[in-house]
Amino acid sequence: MKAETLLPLGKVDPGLRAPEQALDIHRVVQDAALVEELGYDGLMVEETKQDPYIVMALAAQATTRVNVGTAVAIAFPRSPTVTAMSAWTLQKLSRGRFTLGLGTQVKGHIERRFGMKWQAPGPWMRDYVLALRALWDSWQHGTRLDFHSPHYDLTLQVPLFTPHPIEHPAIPVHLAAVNAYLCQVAGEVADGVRPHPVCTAHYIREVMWPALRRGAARAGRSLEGFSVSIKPLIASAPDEEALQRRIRDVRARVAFYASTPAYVACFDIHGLGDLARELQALSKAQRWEEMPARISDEVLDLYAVVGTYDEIVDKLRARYGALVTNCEFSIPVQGPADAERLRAMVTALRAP
Amino acid sequence: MKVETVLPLGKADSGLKVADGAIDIRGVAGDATLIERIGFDGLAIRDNKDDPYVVSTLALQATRRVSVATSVAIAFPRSPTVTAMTAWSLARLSGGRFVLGLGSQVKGHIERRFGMKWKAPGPWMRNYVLAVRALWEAWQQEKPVKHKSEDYEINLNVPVFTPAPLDCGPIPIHLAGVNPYMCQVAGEVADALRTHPVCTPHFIETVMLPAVRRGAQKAGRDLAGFGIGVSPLVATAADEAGLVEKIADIRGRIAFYGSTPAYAAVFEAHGLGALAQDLNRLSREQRWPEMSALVDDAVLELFATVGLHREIVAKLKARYAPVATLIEFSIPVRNPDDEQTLATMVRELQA
Repeated sequence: MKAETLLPLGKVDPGLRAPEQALDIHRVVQDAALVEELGYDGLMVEETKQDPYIVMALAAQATTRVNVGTAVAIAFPRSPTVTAMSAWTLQKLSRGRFTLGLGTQVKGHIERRFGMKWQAPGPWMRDYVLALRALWDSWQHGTRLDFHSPHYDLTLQVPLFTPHPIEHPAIPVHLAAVNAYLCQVAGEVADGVRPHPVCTAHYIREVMWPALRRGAARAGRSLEGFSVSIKPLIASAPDEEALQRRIRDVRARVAFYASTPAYVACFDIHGLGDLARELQALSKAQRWEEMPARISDEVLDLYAVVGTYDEIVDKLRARYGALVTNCEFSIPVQGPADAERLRAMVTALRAP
Repeated sequence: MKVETVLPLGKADSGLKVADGAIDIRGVAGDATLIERIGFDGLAIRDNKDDPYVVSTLALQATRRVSVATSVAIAFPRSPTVTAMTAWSLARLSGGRFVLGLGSQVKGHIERRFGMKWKAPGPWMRNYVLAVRALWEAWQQEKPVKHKSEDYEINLNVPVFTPAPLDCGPIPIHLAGVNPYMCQVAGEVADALRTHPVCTPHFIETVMLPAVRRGAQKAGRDLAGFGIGVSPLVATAADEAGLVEKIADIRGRIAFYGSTPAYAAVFEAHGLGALAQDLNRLSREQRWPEMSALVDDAVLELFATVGLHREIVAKLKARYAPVATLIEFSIPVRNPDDEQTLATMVRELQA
């Protein structure tokens, strides 16, 4: 598997209500250089409290080898022309190391956080990606832009605003997905899919891969070279005692996911639909403290990979090796010993 | 006046700017450093062929003193939440050196280049800026955001997606404008107005500034500290032979502006409405070579500042210092002598 990381290193999904470990924009340059030096294949950024394209500009400028990318940027609040140009600029800056990961977000965010009208996200995302590709194609080949779809019509190119061709015009587009429809769209129009952390290995195998294949078949494409990049839920620590604390956080995270209606398919497939609905009810009643206890060790092991530093890489490889191409993983790095340890883990994760 | 320049400095020319709008993305950091060394107050980043915020990032990361302004970024194709977050990231990165310059673009671009629905740009821009400010205020005060207007309704607050407060001052918002309505909106909600190169000092003084004052009055704001940025048409060269060439270029540029209906008001303000109509007709008939000839010396001097390197700064100051707080100016820099000449010019413009 290829090894990827978010910043800061060792960032973990927060527990139920623990504060998120925020990315420090002043540290991006040095952290990106460290990530490259540790042997990672990719340095990714989410879109939470910072503009992800700005973070990637800093990372691309500070590195020469490692891939950089959004995992993911929210698509719809930017016109496809805006996103196409941001990606084009970053691809040029990084000399072909940029991956554009896009996600739909949900209705409430698009409407009430971004102030836009919501539409069915699958067809919308399909048109969005096709629009990007039409723009890139027209910029690269100097051909007339004539893109039409239910969501976007793009027909105007003016020389002053038309980017020049670039050296690496094939910018990979990855789509974040949970549900089958969006996986199918990814199979149709994207170069990779980024399953949500709630997606178990079983779910990826039984739901996502078939949907990817359906999409590819529909578009008459091959999935050769298609990437599946996961960001698994991981509880890991140097020793058993510290591991117990991480398990507590991850248990809370699983409880939170189970309480989120959008992820119910990932629980239904394991016969855990009732648990999901029970947690939804607790969440609605704001009884958050009671939620983690509903996640048994068995359920925890299903959704999270748990192990000490000595065990965790083998466990990740055993669970996902045959199923995915890229895996997000890191540990906190406070000094040279941590860095050496992480370097060894990255090497082991990447081993054939 | 404060002095800004566009990138790339080696090619930037106040008359022609950069002919095709292309910058060398991997040269931005080096150019920005040079611009800071020459003594400029700031860099102006266009939204042409590259993401202006990515370019701004590279320029800010490479410098310590200068301001970096989008001049201007097109507003509407990005949700106000996106623009607010981007500007917030750049302000944090630079300790408050980022200036958010926004423009509306025109109907054809918004619809056919960005794939969106067009609306009346003035009211839309007012609401856009108010939404950005509402988000910033909520983030800075750590309180929920609540913005409601005809164009945007923003009221979702989720901690994971809420940036922390900045420890630098507020981010200035500049608006690009030509016509009075947008100038009025700038007076109502922005911190400065960036005028188009076609705007003469007379037009700025008699049409734009009154509109800015009306806007400020409407909003009950004080205009102390409000900025006026100009981006003048300049024909300048080291010697007479070079100047003749530049003048020919600028004549063509003025002819082009005259043919553009959006700028007719400026020509009309100078009693040149008939010339603008003639130029518009010729451009529709694609008779480009004939157009420059219609721009006589009087019209040239009206729209452009013309002079040798040794006289241009005095002319610019005489013309623009009464109306502007910020001026965009540079000459191409190919060698250390050019750099020295430009540094002196910048210092004199600032004096």
